Amino acid sequence: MNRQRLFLLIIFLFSVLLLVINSPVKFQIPKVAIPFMGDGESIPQLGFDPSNANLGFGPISINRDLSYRLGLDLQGGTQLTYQVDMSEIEQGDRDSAFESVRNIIERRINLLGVSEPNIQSVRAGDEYRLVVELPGISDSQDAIDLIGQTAQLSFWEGDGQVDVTNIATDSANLLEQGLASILGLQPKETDLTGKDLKRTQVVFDQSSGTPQVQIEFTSEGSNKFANITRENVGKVVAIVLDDQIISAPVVQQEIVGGNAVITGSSDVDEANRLSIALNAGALPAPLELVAQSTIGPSLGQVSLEKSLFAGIVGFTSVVVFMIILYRKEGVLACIALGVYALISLFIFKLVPVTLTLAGIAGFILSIGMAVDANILIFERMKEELKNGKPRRIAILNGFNRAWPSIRDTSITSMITTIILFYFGSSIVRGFALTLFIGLVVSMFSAITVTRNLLLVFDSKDKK
Amino acid sequence: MNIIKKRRLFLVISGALTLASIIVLLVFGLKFSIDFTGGSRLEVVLSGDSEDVRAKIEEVYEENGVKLNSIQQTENGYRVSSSVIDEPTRDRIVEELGAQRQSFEVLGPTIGGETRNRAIIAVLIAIAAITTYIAIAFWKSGGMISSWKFGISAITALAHDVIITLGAFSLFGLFFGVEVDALFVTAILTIIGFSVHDTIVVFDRIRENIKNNVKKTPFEEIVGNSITETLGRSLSTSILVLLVLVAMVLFGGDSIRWFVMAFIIGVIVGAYSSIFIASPILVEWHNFDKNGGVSSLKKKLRSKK
Repeated sequence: MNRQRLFLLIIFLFSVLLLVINSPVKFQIPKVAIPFMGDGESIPQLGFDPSNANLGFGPISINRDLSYRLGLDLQGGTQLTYQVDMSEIEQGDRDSAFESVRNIIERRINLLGVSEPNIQSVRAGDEYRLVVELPGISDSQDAIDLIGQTAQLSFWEGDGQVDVTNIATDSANLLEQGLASILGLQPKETDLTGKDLKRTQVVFDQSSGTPQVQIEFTSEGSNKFANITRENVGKVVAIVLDDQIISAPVVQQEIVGGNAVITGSSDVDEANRLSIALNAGALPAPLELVAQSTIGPSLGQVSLEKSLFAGIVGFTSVVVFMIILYRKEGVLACIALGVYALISLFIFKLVPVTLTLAGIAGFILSIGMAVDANILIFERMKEELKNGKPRRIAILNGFNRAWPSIRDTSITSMITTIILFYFGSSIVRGFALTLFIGLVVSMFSAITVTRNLLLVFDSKDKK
Repeated sequence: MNIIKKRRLFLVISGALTLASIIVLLVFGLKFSIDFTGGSRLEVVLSGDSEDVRAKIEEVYEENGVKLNSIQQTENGYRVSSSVIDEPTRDRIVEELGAQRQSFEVLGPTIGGETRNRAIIAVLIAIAAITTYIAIAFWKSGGMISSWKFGISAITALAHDVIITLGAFSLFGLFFGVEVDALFVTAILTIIGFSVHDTIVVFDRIRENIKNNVKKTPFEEIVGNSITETLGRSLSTSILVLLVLVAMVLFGGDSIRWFVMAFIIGVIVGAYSSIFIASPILVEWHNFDKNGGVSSLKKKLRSKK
């Protein structure tokens, strides 16, 4: 077996492996009871789920999510872009403020119960931005409300004794009236604000199991809070978010150490809402929603199906055209093109590349570029053959002569894709990335796969 | 048909086309999408007589005090772009139209301005990078012609392609309400890549033929031969790429339809210009310099006086 044949064999085996990995369906070999071997219990079930590689070889184990990652335009969902206003934050503190805004938003999003949300921090010069992607959310108002709360949290104390049980805590009372009914005639705002909050979370009372909201203050906040509670034992302290009283717990005792719990939530949902609302006040810098896009799930699905169909039609017409034009060489080029497609798709899974409509368009376009390399080679071969060169020499010369063109054209296209990736928004990046991967792989497949295929199957001179 | 002999004809035709495109662009301009200007884009499912529906959309938007920018028909409804609207207004509009919402986008003006600046920078850098690359790649072009001439001729052909594509989209905007968005910039940059692609293949052959030029063939003839030799490849590749693109336009759904349309125009014009523009310019330039360049031209002008 010579070198070319060996190479082709490896490529062939590799392609079969990739075909399995790229396949959109799971492989499952049904359990078969083998005669004379008991009930078959000892035979492990064989199967492979291409969307989740789970391989173990002794100490080496590979566990990776290998599903195709679809962009929001293909699966439906909401994308929100927030600008973080850093004008009030000192230069040196901005990075950490940005980080904590991101964390808070991440926590809030988790409360939305979205599967696989994605948050990207984008820093462009002096601009701090967060791009939030929420797959499957087509009504974005809830999400926007939750994330974008720029609410200011304040704590109020009073001196009057009032009946605590009569307070409606979640209706939008006029602040003064509300506070007066809770705190007596002269409510007073304390110096404790949302900035003093470190974090809040919902916990469950160990004895009764009822949900309650646990608050953790910063060290400065702890001191302030200790003062307030010391002066208000047995009295009500109202927690106000914007102009709305969200909770009015009675202080049981002086609280030092920076931890407090608010009891009295009737269920987990209420406790959650309170916890989120408290968190909202803890945002260190205000957010501004600068861009938003929502794609309905049906539109995404339709777009995906259509672009895949277009891809298949495009690929098929390329195959037909190549075979008509170049006959035997055309068939070999199509095999190479198949290998090219398999490798590209595998790389999309491996990186992973988020596939958007534009990204798929980029991939389909790169098929055109890949085939161009083959055409360049074949046209050169034809010329060499016309000049009376033996077939084997013609193939080798064809490759060598076509190479500078293939190299130069690929590199100029790569230059544009790199620039696109660097300057583009996320849609544009998807396109640039798939096209770039396509270009690199097509250079490889034209030079190695097509060449070896030709040398093995097409290098005999016709008599 | 000898392309190089008739090169002046093609240069004149292309010059006229480019000029027409520039005039169209200056008179009608391009319809910029909210990607560049900021605003809202609402896509709804809505059927009925196109004229009536358009009138209704205009009416509903006006009632809600929203400035309408453009209405574009999609497969099963309409894509309406306007000034920024919030979600309650959006829901009211959708309800009043009796439509079904498919997608909705809002872009603040800051992001829009940024996208525009980035797009301009990206196109300029791409052009500079490609010229430089070609100049370097063609550094040793056999001494017959300076490598920068290859680069600049390629860029001229490329500018021709981009201007004509822009001109076409100016007309599309006028007649079909097609907007120029971030994806369109992507298309333009890729067209730049493609156009240079084709030109390089021809130039590559010219370079090779210059190297192997033992019979002292004149430059004009070398270029003519090179074009003939690469014509098969240029046609095959262009047709193949067009096949793929046409498949995408027909079946790919309408969110990328105009994006692909830009490619189709770019590929056709690009294939044409690499053969009929880039190489003829190279020849003209070479002849011009051979006849003494700028100084002889000045002399000629002076002697005419």
